[in-house]
Amino acid sequence: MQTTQLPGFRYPVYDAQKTFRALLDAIARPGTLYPIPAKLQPPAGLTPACALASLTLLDLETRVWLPPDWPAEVEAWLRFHTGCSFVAETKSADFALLNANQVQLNAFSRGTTTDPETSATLLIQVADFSSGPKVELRGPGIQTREEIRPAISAQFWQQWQRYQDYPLGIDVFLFTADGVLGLPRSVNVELAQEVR
Amino acid sequence: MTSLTQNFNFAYLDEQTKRTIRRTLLKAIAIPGHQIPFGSREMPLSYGWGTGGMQVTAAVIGQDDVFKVIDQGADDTTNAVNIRRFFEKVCGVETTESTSAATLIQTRHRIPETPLQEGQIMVYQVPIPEPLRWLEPSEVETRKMHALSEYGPMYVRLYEDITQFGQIATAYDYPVMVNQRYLMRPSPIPRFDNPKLNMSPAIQLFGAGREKRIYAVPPYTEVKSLDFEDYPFQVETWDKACEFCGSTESYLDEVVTDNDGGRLWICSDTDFCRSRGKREE
Amino acid sequence: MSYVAVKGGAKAIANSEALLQAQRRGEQTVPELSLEQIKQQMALAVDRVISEGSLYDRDLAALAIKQSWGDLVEAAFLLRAYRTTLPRFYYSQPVDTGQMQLQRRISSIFKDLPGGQQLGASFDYIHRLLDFKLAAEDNQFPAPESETDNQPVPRVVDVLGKEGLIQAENPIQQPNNGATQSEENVFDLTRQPQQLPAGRDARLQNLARADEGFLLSLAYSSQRGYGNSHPFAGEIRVGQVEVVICPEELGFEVAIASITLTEVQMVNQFKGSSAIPPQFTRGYGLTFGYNERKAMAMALVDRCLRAEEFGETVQGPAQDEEFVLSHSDNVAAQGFVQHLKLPHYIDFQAELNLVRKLRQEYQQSNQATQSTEVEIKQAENFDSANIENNSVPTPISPPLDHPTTPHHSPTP
Repeated sequence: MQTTQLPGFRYPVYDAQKTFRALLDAIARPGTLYPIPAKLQPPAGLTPACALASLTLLDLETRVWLPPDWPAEVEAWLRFHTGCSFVAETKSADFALLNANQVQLNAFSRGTTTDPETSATLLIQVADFSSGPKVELRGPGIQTREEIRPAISAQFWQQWQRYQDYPLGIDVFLFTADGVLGLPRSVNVELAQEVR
Repeated sequence: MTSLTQNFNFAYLDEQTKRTIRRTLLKAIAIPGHQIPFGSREMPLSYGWGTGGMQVTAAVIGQDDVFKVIDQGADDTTNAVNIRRFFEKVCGVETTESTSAATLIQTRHRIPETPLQEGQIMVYQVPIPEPLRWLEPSEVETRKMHALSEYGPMYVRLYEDITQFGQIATAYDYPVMVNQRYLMRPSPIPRFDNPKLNMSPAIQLFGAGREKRIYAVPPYTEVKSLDFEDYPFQVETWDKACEFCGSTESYLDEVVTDNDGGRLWICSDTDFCRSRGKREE
Repeated sequence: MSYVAVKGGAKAIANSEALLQAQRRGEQTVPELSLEQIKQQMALAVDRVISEGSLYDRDLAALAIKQSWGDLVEAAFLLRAYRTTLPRFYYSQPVDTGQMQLQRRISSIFKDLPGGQQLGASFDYIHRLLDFKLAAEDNQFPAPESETDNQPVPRVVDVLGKEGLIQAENPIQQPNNGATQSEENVFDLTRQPQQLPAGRDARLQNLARADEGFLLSLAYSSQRGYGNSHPFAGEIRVGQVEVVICPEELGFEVAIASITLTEVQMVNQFKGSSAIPPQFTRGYGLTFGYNERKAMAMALVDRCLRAEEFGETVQGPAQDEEFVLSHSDNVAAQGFVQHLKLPHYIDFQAELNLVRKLRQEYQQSNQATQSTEVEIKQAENFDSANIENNSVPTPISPPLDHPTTPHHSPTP
């Protein structure tokens, strides 16, 4: 088993609390960008914001799926700092870490009708929040509508429209190096005209 | 035996417990109005006395927060004082009585009169989270009813009120429909406060410690009080004004002044009342 | 205004706490209780508190009893609140009650058996007469010589098990998918919310922490016919067992403590079903410390809660899993019952407004009814000759102003 030399949180209690608040704000206000100040050196393959979110959310009670082609250092680092367990089956994952080009929404659990909260949460790393296809969001947390264009493909949004089945569904956080954008399953997505 | 401050983590709960509550809160926001079970802990206060709200607060609160606690709308009721001094002890955060200065407000039975703002978080203490509980005592059954959106019995109950009393005779904890999907108990706020839940700019988090449930309403979310076309939802009004600040719009507490039935009316929201009083001075 | 007196909550709380401490201590001239005295001389109180507080620490339990004026529910609550945020270092191996160093061992189903009957210290055959000698101090009570050889004694129920006469206890099954759990995965109520239907592991943990009085009454009700319980006390054993951990970094087992447990196995007849041959079934009770009454009640209730497993009809409260598991915890129950002391004047005001409004409408409709009745009476008096008045509205229906209200008949 590979071990890691890289440290985790500098101030575990306070860093986790601050990161959590950014995640809470992000999921409560879909489409609004919240900063997660980068305060640690993550292993290669993880953005600082996504790494902070992982330390905040994961522990020995969570099952995590990582893409098979990710560097082993990421798994070693997460295992060492959070104690989380890793699963090979996407459907049994509570959390999955992915890059924007790796997302297959229907591979993950949407929860059950009595327990929709048992669905997966995806932590997706994107290059930026400005170079992708333009989408319009509506739903809880949004006063009227929000327009975003994170660097993720139109196929992702089409999967979103097909596979989310509220209240069943998958919740997503998009991370750049130092920011987060929340996409709860309750969001309705419309792709802007030009990419349809 | 050492004192609390020496022996306990920031905000009392251990980090493991905070993480489970935080994960639950994120799911609760994503499924507005849906109750999620969580591994509620014993707190140093009795179950039924705000332990759910306290656990949510403990999972959310940070050093930069400005914290306000109200019970019955007032900052100075014993339970509010007790919870505030607990968090002063275990977090050392700044506290306030001002609704507009607070970033985090824990409440029992009221929503402040001063409109909430974006960036604020409300934490409600919830005794019984299940809106269908008096209709169906079994948790197994009510979970099925939520899964199937089987809310007919609740409408029937309200309709029976109308046939019996000519109106819906539910004065507080009046059931609401959240985001057109989940029936939710707003906690025992008077129905006077129900309209404030709808499209609120604040994040609203609900914690039931003894019943081990968390649920939430994100900002700008539709929260509709149940009613009928010919019997629209109504809030109560008073033909009195607050003895202190003269408000005729706020929720008034009736105070008995003597043994001969003497009464006067004062604002339940002490901060609202005080700030109005100042303005008029 | 005098209502400002409602303010000053912080000072009132501080004063209340100071008064509580002063009254707890009582007269200064009377020597203060030591924790050691409580531990030694109120041992059963301590045992109840470690059991319901679900923390095996007799020193802290003694402290909790002292702090709570001897209120054992309050003391259990203090222990629970203390243990809740303690870090977990290891999970112990399952304890082996077959290896127990016995203090007491009773079986009501065999006259004699290997290891014999061992009364130990028990109230069972004591005449319940107040012992006035105890009111004086400095009594000496020498313990009788004991002949026990401390050899492990096999469990009575295992004797039946060898013959296949009693249902075997299988590894814990998950209620939903039937998968067998590993020992590390045993359900933990203190970390996870109760699920319904619950696995037997969650159920037994719930009962082990449950209020003794609640279990006692439920068990009693099941014996009186609210449920289907006709048990024999297969075995009651009290004694010490070793707690062993096996830290991964060491790779071998280490005994970390020796604790006192009470274990009860009740034996119930079972006529068999299409799937299961006729055999005996069991109800299981286990508590920290010497808590025989509770362990027996727990075993009865455990068996009642297995009704569904054995295809029996659920007919009494003790067999209703959701009812029992949701109401067994006295820390939760005391909190919710007593929370009614908190101010509720906002909701009461809302109710007050509503009741006033309803009364007003009630009186208005009653007056209207009475005037209708008067009119009818007058009509009868004056027109008694030609009473063909089918068209007169019936007096019990007051005038309605609610279109959706077919029957509006307020009952006085």
